[in-house]
Amino acid sequence: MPQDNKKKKVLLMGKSGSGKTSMRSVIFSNMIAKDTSRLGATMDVEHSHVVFMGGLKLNLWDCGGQENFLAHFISTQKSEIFKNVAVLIYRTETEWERDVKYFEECIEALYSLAQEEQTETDPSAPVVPPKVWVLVNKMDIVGDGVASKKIKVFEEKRDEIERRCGAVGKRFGMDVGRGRGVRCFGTSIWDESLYKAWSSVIHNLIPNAALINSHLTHLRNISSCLEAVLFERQTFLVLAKSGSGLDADPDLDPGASTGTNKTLGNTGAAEDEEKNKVKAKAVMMDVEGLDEVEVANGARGLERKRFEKISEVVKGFRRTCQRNSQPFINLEARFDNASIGLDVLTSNTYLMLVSSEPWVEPSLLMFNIEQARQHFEELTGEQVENPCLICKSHPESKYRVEDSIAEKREEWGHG
Amino acid sequence: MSGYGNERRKVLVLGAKKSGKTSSLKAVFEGMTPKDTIWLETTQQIVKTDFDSILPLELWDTPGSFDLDSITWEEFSTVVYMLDVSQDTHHPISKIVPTFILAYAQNPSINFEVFIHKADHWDADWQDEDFREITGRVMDEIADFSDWASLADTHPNVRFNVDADAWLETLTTEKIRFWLTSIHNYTIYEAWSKVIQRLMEDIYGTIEGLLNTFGQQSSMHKSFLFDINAKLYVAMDINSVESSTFQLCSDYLGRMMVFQSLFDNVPEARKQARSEKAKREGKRDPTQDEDDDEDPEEREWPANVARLGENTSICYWQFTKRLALMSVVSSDVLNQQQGMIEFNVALLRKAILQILEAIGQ
Ligand SMILES: Nc1nc2c(ncn2[C@@H]2O[C@H](COP(=O)(O)OP(=O)(O)O)[C@@H](O)[C@H]2O)c(=O)[nH]1
Ligand SMILES: Nc1nc2c(ncn2[C@@H]2O[C@H](COP(=O)(O)OP(=O)(O)O)[C@@H](O)[C@H]2O)c(=O)[nH]1
Ligand SMILES: [Mg+2]
Ligand SMILES: [Mg+2]
Repeated sequence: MPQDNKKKKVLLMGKSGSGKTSMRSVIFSNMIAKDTSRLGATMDVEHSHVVFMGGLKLNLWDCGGQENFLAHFISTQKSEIFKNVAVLIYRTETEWERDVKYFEECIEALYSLAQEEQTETDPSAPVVPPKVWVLVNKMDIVGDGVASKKIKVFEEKRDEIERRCGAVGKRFGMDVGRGRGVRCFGTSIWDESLYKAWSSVIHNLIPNAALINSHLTHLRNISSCLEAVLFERQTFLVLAKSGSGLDADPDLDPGASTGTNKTLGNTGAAEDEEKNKVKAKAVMMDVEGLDEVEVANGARGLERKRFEKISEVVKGFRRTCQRNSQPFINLEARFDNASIGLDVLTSNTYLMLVSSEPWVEPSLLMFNIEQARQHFEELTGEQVENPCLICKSHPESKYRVEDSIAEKREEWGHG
Repeated sequence: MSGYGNERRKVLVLGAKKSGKTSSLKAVFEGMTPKDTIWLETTQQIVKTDFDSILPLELWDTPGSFDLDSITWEEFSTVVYMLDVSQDTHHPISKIVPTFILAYAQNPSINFEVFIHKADHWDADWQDEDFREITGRVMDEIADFSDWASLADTHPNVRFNVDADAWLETLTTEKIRFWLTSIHNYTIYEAWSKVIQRLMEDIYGTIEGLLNTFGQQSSMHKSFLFDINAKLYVAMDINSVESSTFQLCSDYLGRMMVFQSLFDNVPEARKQARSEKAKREGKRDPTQDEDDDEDPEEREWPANVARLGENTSICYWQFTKRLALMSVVSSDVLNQQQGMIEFNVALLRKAILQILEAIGQ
């Protein structure tokens, strides 16, 4: 794995016409789906950079998918392309047989280079395979509009992809399977599915996701909220949320939510009750990936595609504002059944607080976002100057100074 | 204001086959996405739909051709005529002119609204000129109308005015209005806004006056009273702003409705969670004793604000199930005088509720 935490190489591969450039434009350049039909074919490799929260830099390699290029990628250009890859996103379309063959060759190149790199640095450690996201695209034209057919087609493809990844991984001594190094999403540039897949990618690349998650959960609790959600400012991809992690990908990051609840658990409660809660929570997490605060506040009634839809609402409105030469800054709303505060948090993020308590005024939520701003800016920056209790106790914290603190760390029982 | 009564205002929508009658009604009053209107089937018979705006309406969608003599013109407040510019306009115009004359003869208080429709087919640069050409043609055909003999022949019971020229003059200058419309942009909402405003008669002026006063006292750039279901405005203050202000507000309103709908089921889920928790703990279900009939007087109506830079904020205050105030104001003013503005909003709301009560709504 690359050592540099901040710069991530993201490879976009897949046959020509499978929609790599389209999705890149829709997600990162605010293009609307209709306009992608005008995009020209990608020759060779197109590089672009996206700077995310806390200086996280995505280096997107959009690899032209014509056959002659593909052949080069896995032969002469192999080491240039597949070295230091954080994520490989492979797009596939309808011509499955040939697609899958190229896919396997790409995976092989990827894993073999990861193994070489690992041998150079530390041969004794086990090889961690670079993560692979496979987006089965153009789902909008699959299954003749029959939902069950669509799901079946997707599941067959997913199973095969995972099986093949597993087989290739085995040859390199890597354990690869569902949720372990490979994830599949069915996508279409015409709906929210693309957004969901990309949120999963980005969430995974954020270096201190669990720490941010803990902070969001704390902020949610002190604001009497149901949810606290962190969005990337330009793309409005959801980066992290409070409570039990992203429900976009429940099996992705199980450590994050448990760590959170340990830190912020109700310490004064009787042991029995605590056990009950844990048990109840375990059950709930199975079903919907929600924690108990969320459930108590009515999160089960929330629309599952809410993040994607909120992103669409905000980005769409921002486009309208731009047409009127206006920026969009923030939003506060008292809806029929919820209060919302949505405001800029750091230079690269927006924070949304949602409360279902009738007495929570939106202006209060805006105030709390304002108050959280400075700490989050530090948290996602280089170093935390003023660590809070969560920072001090958290294994992912970048707050490492004197030894005395290191000892304190031991006391807190984490690390 | 006693003359308002409670009966629905009837609006008859006429036009050639495929001219966009059904599309425009579905888009505005039922929220259909314009793109989806291509799937609409041909209307085979008259379809009447009730819609409660600031006044109760009864909208009549019609087939392209049917027996116009079956219509009792006295029943209708307004005729909306859709003139499709993507097709030949000469034939429809020569057909509709005698109909207007006949309708006006039988119901002198009827209004005619001509939607020069599918304007998106026109080149934007020539749009104004094309618009003037068509309105001119309709006006001329009415002013030059001379075929009284055949009208009297087919309608022996209708009495036509003796001073035909002056009478036709009133018809063209006071009764017929023209709107350039397309379902692919805001113009269709704007046109329907104007149709409804005309039906409001006196109360339009009263509400406009209230909005003016509110705007002056609260330093608003512009205020609209929106029908939130149809996303059109039933009144606005007299401050002049660019037409994009209405578009911005309308766009914002539509998006906030989507946003709000994401949380529709939260109270139900909250209740269920409490009841499940009580069950787990072996306690009595607390939700059983609650009655959720909230007092409508007590209800706190949705309100929200989007800040778009120093000079512009869009504010939304819902007044009733159907109506909301939307204002554009400088963000600085909003931040500094929020309390005073909220107070003025409360007064305005009260005044508007009184008007609604007075007209029996
Ligand atoms: N129906 C459908 N068409 C898509 C989708 N994604 C991309 N396309 C279309 O596929 C074509 C090729 O896309 P492009 O991004 O150039 O593919 P690339 O060669 O992989 O970069 C364009 O006309 C897109 O509009 C999708 O999800 N659904
Ligand atoms: N370009 C364009 N097409 C429109 C417009 N309004 C309606 N249409 C299309 O015109 C066709 C006929 O519409 P419809 O409502 O069924 O017409 P009706 O027979 O008058 O009810 C449909 O395919 C609509 O999508 C418009 O403003 N612009
Ligand atoms: Mg391309
Ligand atoms: Mg029709």
